[in-house]
Amino acid sequence: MLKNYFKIAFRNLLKNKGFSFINIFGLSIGVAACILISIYILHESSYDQHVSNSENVYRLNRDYIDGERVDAGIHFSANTAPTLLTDFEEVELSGRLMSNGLFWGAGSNEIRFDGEVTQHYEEGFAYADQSIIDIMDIVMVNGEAKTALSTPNTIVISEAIAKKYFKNQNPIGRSMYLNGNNERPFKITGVFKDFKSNSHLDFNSFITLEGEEFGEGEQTRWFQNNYFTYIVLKAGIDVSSFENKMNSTLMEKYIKPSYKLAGFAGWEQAHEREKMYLQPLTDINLYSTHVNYESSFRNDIKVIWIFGIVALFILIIASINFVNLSTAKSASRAKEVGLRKVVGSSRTQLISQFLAESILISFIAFILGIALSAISMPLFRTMSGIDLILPWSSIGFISIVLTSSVIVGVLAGLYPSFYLSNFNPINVLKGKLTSGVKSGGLRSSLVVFQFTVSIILIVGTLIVNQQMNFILNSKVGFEKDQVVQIHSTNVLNDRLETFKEELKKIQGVGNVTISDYLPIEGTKRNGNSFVNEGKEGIDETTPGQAWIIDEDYIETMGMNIVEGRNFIKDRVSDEQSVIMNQAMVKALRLKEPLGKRVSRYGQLYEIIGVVEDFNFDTMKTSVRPLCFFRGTSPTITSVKMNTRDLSAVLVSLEAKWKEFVPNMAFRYEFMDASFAKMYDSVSRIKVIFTAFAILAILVACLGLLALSAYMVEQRNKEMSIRKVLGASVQTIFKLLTKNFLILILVALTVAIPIAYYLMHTWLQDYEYRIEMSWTVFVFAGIAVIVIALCTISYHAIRSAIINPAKVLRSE
Amino acid sequence: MIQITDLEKFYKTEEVQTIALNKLSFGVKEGEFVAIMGPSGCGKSTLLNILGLLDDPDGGSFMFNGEEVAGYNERKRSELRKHNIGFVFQSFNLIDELTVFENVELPLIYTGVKPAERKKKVEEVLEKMQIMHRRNHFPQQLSGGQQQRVAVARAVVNNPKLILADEPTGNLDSVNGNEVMDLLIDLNEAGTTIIMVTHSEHDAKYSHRIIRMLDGQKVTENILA
Repeated sequence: MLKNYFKIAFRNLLKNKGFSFINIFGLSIGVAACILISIYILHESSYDQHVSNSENVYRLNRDYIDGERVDAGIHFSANTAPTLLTDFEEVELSGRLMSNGLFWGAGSNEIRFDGEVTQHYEEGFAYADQSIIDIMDIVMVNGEAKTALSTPNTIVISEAIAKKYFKNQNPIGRSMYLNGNNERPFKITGVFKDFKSNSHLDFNSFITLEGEEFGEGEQTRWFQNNYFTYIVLKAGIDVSSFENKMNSTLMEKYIKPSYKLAGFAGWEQAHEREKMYLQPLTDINLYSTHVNYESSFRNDIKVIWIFGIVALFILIIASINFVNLSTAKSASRAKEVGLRKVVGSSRTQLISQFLAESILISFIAFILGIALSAISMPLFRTMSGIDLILPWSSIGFISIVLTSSVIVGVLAGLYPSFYLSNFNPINVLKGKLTSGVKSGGLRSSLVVFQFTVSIILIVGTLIVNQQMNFILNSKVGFEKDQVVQIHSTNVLNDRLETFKEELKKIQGVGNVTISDYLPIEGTKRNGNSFVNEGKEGIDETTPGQAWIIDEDYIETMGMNIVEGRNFIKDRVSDEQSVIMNQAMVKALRLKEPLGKRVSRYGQLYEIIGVVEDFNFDTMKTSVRPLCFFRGTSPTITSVKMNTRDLSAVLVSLEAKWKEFVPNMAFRYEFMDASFAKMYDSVSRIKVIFTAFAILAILVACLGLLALSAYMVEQRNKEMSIRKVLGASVQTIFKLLTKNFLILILVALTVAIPIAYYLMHTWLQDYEYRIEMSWTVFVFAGIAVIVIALCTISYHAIRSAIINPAKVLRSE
Repeated sequence: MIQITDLEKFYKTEEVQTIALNKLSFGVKEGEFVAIMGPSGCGKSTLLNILGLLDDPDGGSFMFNGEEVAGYNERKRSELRKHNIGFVFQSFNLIDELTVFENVELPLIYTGVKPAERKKKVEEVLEKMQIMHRRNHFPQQLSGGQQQRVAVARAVVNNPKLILADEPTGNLDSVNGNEVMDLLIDLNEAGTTIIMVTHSEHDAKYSHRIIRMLDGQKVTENILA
């Protein structure tokens, strides 16, 4: 029986090649899209699951509550982690990690190995406790995992770094020097397996925290928050009751007394402003968008949902093609249905037959879809920036794909098989049912649905693109173009000023400034507290950035002083002065800021200027309070060029660098490129979204193409008679396209409010956002109409210009 | 074998109700060959569809082998049909996507005959219809006469007790038409009951009894043999 079903199914596929192509190819595009997106989603949701005991590992997070506003932080004081272990029996392990480039050794370094002279630039350094190796299940390929970081001045490096610098030699026991400091060798005690792409940690080297103290008292103060803190809870501990206990104990026993001692205003209410909680390790990748200053990019569960929905919609659109085409061309199967009934087939048997047929089609489409996804995998890897692979060998993958092909086959085939099997044998054998006009209502609804989804996707794509371009190109309060950042200039030490003056002399250089604090994510940041003079211990302090800059900074960055003046070189009093941004003026509630004084940790600074707000975080957040202080922050020197011939200037810059530092490579970055990199992940998501939206529209149009072919075929006789009676080609074209246009207009009416609502909601995530313009909707509408019209026209025009005699003769 | 009494069938459009069968009664004995004649629209085909259990009467009684089948549901009718009735149509109604062999095999598949048994039966009947040499051809590749022989083969492969033929020679020339009629006679002589709807007086003469119909009613009945 089954053999017979598949046999006739196969012959039908071959007989209607165009139909089969659209059905199978459309579905396989949908399948390929689904597979790619599923692999992406699986990758994104599998973060840190490989860590053994991951279900008991948590990162400590903290909400800072200020009225309506809640800021989430993940930095804790040095003694938080050890205290958690000693004071709470629920805690099995605790550990600290610190990757803040503010501290020497963390972030990026110039490194040199013993017995060598060349310095190499490497990123991805972090300080860590020995226990981090255990908690994160870091695998050592060389060295002792249990003790690698347990003595001071030790470092473990990744396999990648080991391979890069030691090839086949054993790095264990060698020494590493950082940033030209020859007094302090770090002994390499271990080589660890590179972090997987689905690990939220992405470091190349860990320096031990054993014996480190970053400034006096740093290890014991409860308000100097520099460390990511991870804990392992003992199995079976109730997390929320532990969180309550942890909050009250740490607050009452340690934090409040410490705040009180430091003279912080409102220390009694600290428990209302700070709430600590545990974030499961496996949640970090997808549930951390609210967290400030993450160590690297975190995806968003919302993005995962949106991608999943888009993939599902592509599959649904492809399945709708199947339903529509099957019912539309039902006439050609009618006789078969009638006959099978006459010779004894029951309706159930017919339904099974058509279901078998649709499962066969779906199965072929899935095989093809897997092939398509394999072919497009390299492209998708580039688009997503993740080294994704098709899990061929996984039995789970194969069985999920096979099961899905059956499910899709059944779902897509269900309606057509009920519809087809319901034919009355007498009618069809007498040829009464000549065309698939029946169920036109359902077919129309499905077409409307397809185009509604397509329009929403088009609008979504346009608005996402507009918003991204807006962020990348809008005025951000500083000028990022034609600015080159030269890295590692700190190695120049006391020759740095001379270097700066020399650079200024180069033809094409407009201005030069030395500062590690740049309005680009990933450069130096810090946290300080400010309070108005005379209000110390009375007013609550205002948190804000304290950036060290020189007198050329504001001009080089193209920032705008709205009140007061810039720092003046060599003026001694400017060392006790501050320039603040408008957000800081507002936060301190200063009416006339100039001449007032502000206190930072007991030191008073006179306000000499106010700079216009500029963005230094991503545009998702509003500008935060910030103060400029004069000083030297020597790692990055930024050069503003005033010529278009950037490459010539670069050559001169490099020559000058070689003159000063012959043993180190000249390393630079354009600021606009670094700026774009801030939005790299977002841009990738934009690209993926756009690609899949186009796919969805393509599949919908494939369906429309085939559907219009059948509709036109059905009306061929009518059109021929009309033509004989004198209808023009245009009239016929109009007649044939009118119905489809109506459907698309309905789809537009449904889609626009939905698209508006969805995109409006999405834009709320951005503090700086575009206004949605009606032109987007008009454009999307026109685009869909044009695309659909082109699709339909092919058949409509053919029908309109065909010789009517031919059609009528064959009737 | 068949006894219909006061059989009624109406067709309704939105406003008009047409009577297709008007209190029609007659019986057919096992082994009989009955021809039904009458002008277009007299209800012949409707009658044949009801007798073939493809359609339901709106009134009256239909006894098939002593069993009341009027009011049977689709499943029961299909069950009864596939074991007892074979059909031959004017337009052959072969499935274009299946070969000659596969077309004939179809009823056996639905009655659940094992593959080896099926092959034997199909080959037997194709041999009998002298169409064996065409077993792997598709219907479009055959002449009209050959197609109708395949259709007859399909109708008889299950050894039905009753064959219903709806103008079996209507689309054929006289030579091919006579051949098909000879096949039906052979089947009838072997014991199969045949009810045939026809416009052709020539074909009707092959039967034992001619029932003439007009406006859904029986007008005359001539016994020939």
